[in-house]
Amino acid sequence: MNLLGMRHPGADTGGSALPLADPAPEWIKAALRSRFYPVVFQWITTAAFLVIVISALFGPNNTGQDFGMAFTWTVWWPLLPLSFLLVGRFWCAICPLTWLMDWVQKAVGVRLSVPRLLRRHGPWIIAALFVLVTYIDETWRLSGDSRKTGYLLLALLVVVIFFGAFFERRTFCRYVCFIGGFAANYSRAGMVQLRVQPARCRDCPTQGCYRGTERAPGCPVFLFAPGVEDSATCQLCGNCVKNCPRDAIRIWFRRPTSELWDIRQPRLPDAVLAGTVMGVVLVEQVVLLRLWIPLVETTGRLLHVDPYVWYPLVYGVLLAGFVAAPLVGLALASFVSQALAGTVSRAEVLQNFATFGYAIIPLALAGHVAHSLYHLLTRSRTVPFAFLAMVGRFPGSSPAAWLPNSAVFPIEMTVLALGAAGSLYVGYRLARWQARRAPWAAYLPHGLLLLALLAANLYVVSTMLHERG
Amino acid sequence: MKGMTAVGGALLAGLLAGGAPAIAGQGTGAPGISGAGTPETGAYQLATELPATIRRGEVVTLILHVRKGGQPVDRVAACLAAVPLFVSVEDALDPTPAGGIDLGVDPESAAQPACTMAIAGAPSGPGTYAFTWEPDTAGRVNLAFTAGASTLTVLVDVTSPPPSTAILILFVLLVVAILSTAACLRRRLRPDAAAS
Repeated sequence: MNLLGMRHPGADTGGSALPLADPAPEWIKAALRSRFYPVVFQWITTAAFLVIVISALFGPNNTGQDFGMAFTWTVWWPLLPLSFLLVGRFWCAICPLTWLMDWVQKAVGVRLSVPRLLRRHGPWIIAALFVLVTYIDETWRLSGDSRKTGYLLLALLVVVIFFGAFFERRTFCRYVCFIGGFAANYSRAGMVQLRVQPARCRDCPTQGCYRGTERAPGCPVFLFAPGVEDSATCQLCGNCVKNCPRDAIRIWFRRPTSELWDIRQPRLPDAVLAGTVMGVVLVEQVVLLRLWIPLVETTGRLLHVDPYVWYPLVYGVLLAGFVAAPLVGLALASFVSQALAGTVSRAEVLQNFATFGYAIIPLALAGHVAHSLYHLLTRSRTVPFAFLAMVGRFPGSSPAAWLPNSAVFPIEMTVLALGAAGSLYVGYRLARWQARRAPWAAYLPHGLLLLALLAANLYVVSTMLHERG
Repeated sequence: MKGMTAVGGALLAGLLAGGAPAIAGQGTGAPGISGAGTPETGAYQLATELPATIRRGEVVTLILHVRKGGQPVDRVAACLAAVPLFVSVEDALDPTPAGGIDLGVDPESAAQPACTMAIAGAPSGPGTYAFTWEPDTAGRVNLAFTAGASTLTVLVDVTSPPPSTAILILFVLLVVAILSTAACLRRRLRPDAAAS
């Protein structure tokens, strides 16, 4: 126990120091051990996925009247970042694509080892795919077109079936899935972790958490439970809990962002992804503002092209700019931070960059959640109407939003404030570790960067309120 | 001349579809289109002729007849606005190009001051006005025809083109190719697993 009444997992069993956490109630462990978990959830999500695919391909091509479109883009997609904060990568455990992948693997799986390219560059590939999907979404107007959304889902199915058929376990989830990028970062900042009590793992006769037993397959994302030190990869599928002969693995609840406070082995791809997500979150919102039109036209002039004819090019340039901005800011802050500490070398600046990149995660998450809440609390009002339309009943009125923009605005601001507080605190904790002699000097440039990113988010949210009334 | 041809084509299409002009004010539906018109308001009697099917992304010509006391009325500002029965908030908040609802209203005709944020009707005969519309939405849509202060709203279904057959076939072929290749490889590389 610490002063806050929370415990270190494994503290009573001689384990290493991990973020402060409380054990989840016994019923959660019982649920994870159940043979119905996560299959029951997967059946539900698979059924919903089928309805969405069929609706997107064959329903009315109208965002408001197509149930698949309305549900996908105004409920599921907005709830996703929030779910990573609240329950880690639980979504990955119940994702219909993982169910399909497992099924294909059982039926025809060759189970080849993960290609070296993926193992070495997986995080970079995920970050690149995340940006690519953002690009395709905007330039192909995916979220406004049912058929294109349907085609995207079919393409995704082909890729998932390919990975399930040829590669072992869930190679796709671990090394390719574009959602896995922000899922990993957000889950690090989330409130749930799966950890072992290491003392119980000594001389484990089975290592069933990794190898699998007759009760369940081994970890689908290649984790060896005693080695798990973060929540970036674990999908909370419960296989290791089912397989553990010593009841050493359990879920712990923890303070949001606490995992980020004590990052000791920062990885460059994680930091780059954090900045990338921040940039994507911003550009996704700026696209909706009037500001976007002069931005597009100015970029077109600079490139000497008609910005509307060459919109894919113009958008690509702007997207690259938005993604690069937080990263350049982080690089500058890292350089200044090291300069203030009096030790500037390439390696140290990179280390600083990688470390303080984690401080961006809470703010990126908050920006994403705030933007998502806007969709959820306003646009998802069409979902029940679209469902009725799907079954042939047409209510006679146009649905307004669940909440007026003026009511959503304070919620968004609160979320952003919490995210900013989280980021600033994470930065402070990292500075104390990174530069013990002069933490405030190391922290100052990164604190300023976080405030600048907060200001950008506040500008976007308040401008959106102003423009939409 | 071109306009007349278009109108003639639309009339022919309406006739071939077995349609007759929908009489406003009686709550009748447009020929060949599910949905119903709402009673008109104002001094004119309005009637529409709509094609049997309206598809997203395809240009259609809609006809409006304007009469008063049984006589055709010319030189009136006839306009068409299209609003889905229920719209996503995204559509409703979209600032471009037609007053918040991006339904494919032709921006050039919308530029006519008499029809702000709506399609202007082109006179094509005594008391007859033609509207060229390319819907970029699908589903149930309210078509609001106005002539002067008179309004007639007709509910229509805008259908969507089916998914591309080529893409669906490609999808099936890819899945079959992947699964069969994997099954063959598994028999060679892991005969024990294939047997079980």
